[in-house]
Amino acid sequence: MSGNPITDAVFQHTAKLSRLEIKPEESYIKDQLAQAAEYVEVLKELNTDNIIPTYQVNHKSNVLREDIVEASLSQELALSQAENTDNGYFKTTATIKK
Amino acid sequence: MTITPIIGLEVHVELKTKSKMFCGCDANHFHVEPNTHTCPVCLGLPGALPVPNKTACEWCVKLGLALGCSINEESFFERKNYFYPDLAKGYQITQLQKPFAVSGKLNIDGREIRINRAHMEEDTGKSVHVDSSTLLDFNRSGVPLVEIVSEPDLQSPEEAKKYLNKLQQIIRYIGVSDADIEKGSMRCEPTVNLKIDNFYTPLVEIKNVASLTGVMNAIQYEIDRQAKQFEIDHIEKNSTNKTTRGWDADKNQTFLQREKEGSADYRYFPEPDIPPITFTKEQVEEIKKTIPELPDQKIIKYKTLNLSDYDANLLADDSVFSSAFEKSLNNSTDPEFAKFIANLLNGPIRTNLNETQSEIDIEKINPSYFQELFSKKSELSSSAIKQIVVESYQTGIDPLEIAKTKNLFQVSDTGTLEEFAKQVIEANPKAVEDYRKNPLAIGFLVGQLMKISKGSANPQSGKEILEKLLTNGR
Amino acid sequence: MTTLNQLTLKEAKEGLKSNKFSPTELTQSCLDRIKSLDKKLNSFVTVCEEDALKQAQSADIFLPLGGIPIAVKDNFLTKDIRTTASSRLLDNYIAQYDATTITKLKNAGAIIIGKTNLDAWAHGSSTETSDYGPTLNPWNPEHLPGGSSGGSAAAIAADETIISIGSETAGSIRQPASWCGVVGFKPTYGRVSRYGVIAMKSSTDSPGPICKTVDDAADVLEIMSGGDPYDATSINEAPWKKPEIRTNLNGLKIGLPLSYFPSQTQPEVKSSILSAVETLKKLGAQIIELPDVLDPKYSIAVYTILQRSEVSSNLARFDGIRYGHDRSFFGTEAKRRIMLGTYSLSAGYYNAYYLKAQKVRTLICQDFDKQFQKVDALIGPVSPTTALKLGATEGQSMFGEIQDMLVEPSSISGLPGISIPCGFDKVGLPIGLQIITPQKREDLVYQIAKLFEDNTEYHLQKPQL
Repeated sequence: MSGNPITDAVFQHTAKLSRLEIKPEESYIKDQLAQAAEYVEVLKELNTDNIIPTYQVNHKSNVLREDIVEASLSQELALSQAENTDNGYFKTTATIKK
Repeated sequence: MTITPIIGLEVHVELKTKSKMFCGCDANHFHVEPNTHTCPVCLGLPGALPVPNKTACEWCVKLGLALGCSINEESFFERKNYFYPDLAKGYQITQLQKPFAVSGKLNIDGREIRINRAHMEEDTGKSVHVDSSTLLDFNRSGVPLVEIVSEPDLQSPEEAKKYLNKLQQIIRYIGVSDADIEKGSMRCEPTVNLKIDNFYTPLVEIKNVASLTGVMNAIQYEIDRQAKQFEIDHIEKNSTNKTTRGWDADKNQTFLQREKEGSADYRYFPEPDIPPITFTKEQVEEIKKTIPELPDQKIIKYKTLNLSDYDANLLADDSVFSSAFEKSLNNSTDPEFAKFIANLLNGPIRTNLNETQSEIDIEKINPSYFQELFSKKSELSSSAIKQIVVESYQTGIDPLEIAKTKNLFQVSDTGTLEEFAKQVIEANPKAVEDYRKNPLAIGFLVGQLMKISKGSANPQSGKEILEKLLTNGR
Repeated sequence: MTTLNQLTLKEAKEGLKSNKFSPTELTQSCLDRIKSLDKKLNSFVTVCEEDALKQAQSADIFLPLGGIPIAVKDNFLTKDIRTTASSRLLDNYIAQYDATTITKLKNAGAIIIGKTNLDAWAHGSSTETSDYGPTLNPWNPEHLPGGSSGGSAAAIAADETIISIGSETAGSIRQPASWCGVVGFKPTYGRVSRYGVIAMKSSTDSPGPICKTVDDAADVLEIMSGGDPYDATSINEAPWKKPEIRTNLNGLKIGLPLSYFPSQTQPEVKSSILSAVETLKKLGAQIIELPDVLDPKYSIAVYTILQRSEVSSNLARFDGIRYGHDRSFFGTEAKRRIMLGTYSLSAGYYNAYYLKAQKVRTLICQDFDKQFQKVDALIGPVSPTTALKLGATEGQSMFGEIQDMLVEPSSISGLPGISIPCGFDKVGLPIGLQIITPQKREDLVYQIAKLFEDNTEYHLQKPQL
């Protein structure tokens, strides 16, 4: 981030990846990203060679479930909160490219 | 100009677990009312959390082992972040840095095709495009998938087909999936590029191939297309020009879909909701023990019994069928007996199964029946044997009983045959004359003998007796 | 005269059991209080008047929380009740299932009186960034209650409910508790199931109680806690049980990290903590100053990166297809966090930021391990200041992360911590003392906090409303 200023292109790309529309009046977010980026530079002060990252703070492992079927939601409940449904299906007119 | 195709295959296999990968919903999504097998987890409702299916993980390890992979002692899940309506959470839980299985191989006609990895992930929902809308069914969302990635070691469409057949066979053998390409429980995406002299064409990933023939055709199409394209533009492969093309089976061509997103744009990071999974050497050994003898090993074994490549391959193709063969053989090492059984199983039994659209039932296989039949084979015509074995399989009745009841035993005793032969010779003077001129004309007389004996004469013995009598000038 | 809504959990239970009043009267008293106050205070996004009274009528007072009204932070899914995470995006979302914690609380007889306000998506430390307007601090309506569980903390401070629950990712229970002068108990990560709590930062989110007394909070934590097969990160143990109380702190070593008094610390905050230190000493504890605790500034950076990265992924499911509205309904704060998260995880930055942050996280955990070799618990202020004024967060892109610097280290390390009232500043705003212990030592947290509370009277003061 530092030494890599957040260009408009990067900002647009980030918004696209986030599926967010940043309105013109919100464009100040770009500067705030840069600010936050500056702030976290402080981590460079710490030596982390040979340090294993902590992805899980309570050190668990092998939490698995048996292959048993449990009750599902009814179709009605599953669809109940959708704006658009059609004959048991969720429906969207959004054209999102994969 | 030397053109060498470089082909890699990415295969997704749907495991036939009862429940889904990260929740307890019924994993069956075939012919099920839409959105009836969903829950907060696989529907991506706010606050829901994934918990991995133990059987699915073990089966992924099992599949990896069957493909000769090493199993990572510790592995973990990661999130692959992208947006698509059928991806409920906006990310797919998959594996990247530490998959369950790595570095395996598959043997195709003596050539080793390297397998990069076999890892665990979840399937997306299904989307159907209707006019300008998309209809979504999340019954398939969260079903366990194993992704098997080969190195680009394949060199032709035929090889690709063989690889897929082999893979399918092994997967079915170990019983973790139906691996049915038409039904979608095995999906394949080839990646193709060419080496033209010392240049490499850009990589192309092909999507939407729905059958084995489709795979072959799509790969061939791409090989041809890339060769032509390179002649025109001489564009070489680099780290950013990989593309994705869709296969159109109707038009028999590929078409550009999109520029492939770089893997970093998926923003992979370790899944914080799922602790890592470890497999000790002992646990891996336990899983290894559950792997049955695989086709390759069986074929080698069968060939030591002097069975042909064809017979051996056919018998080993299906694990139940091969078990039926081995049960019938009952540890015998007699090549003749082996061939006898092979012919019957691969022939009349298989035909009968196809006609009745059934799978072979190992309970119906009785080794002693095969032995009996084998011991009396000289007294039965080959067509009689075929008839008897099918009926015995269907009914469970002793084959010799059937032969007796249906009067199928061939007459071989000299006395009876001589009687018949004498009758035939008397009734067919012209044929006898023909025989004097040409010994091959014995065939007609043998035919008459069969007729007069109502098919019960042993043709070989009958022929010998006719010849003896005729030689004696009678 | 005490009205029923002003009772603690302990008092309410005693009253119900001895038939001094009915569950309906108790619930009605809270509802009346809400009606008279909440238009101004705005603690609640949704009030469940009808349902609550119905449940009160058939309440079983012999259940552990039988007939007791509870206010639930609006990021817990409560079946058939509107759940918004204080975002317009979920304005019309009726939860389709109950969070595990909610099931446990319901099974214990608790009556959900309403869903409380929070910073939208729990992104904040003020409750000012709620899409439903800020909650006001009951002690002074020109000030903020803290966040993100500001609604729950305010509801407790204003006696709009008997008990409440919130969630903490990095300070969201302790900080509003401290700014509102109530008790906020953040348990060990994994102690309480996260299933059904709208995810913010999955690797530190910890649901927990916000209540009027230490005993109340402990009693509620007992009900909330326990392993959950639906949450793979939950601690696979039986529910936590409150231990015996201590009569003194003899033999206990309590550490005071000097780095927990940064330059911006308000003088009254410092003096209250030092006065608390004296109280603890009198109770028999040995107080040890710790000069070498890792500077909280690193925690701010770690937390900023990790939280926003996970948030960007956790909010990806909100696409408006299966529930809620589309992504254009996200507020600016949510957008900002998602953008930074996406950026931190993107090509070229993963190694420099996400991975680095996870490694520094290890250093932070190791630092605590080192400190806990010397001491049994740590204390300090929860927040460098008392409740800030409305509008304080405007233009401050890292407001929350910086405000929470004193609680981020322990959250990142999954440690349990409590905030208890320990004083007031010169304008009467509350100050909170935090007590932190190693993982799974909620017993010690409780014992120290309970003894301190029994020997002070800060918790007995109520705001003038």
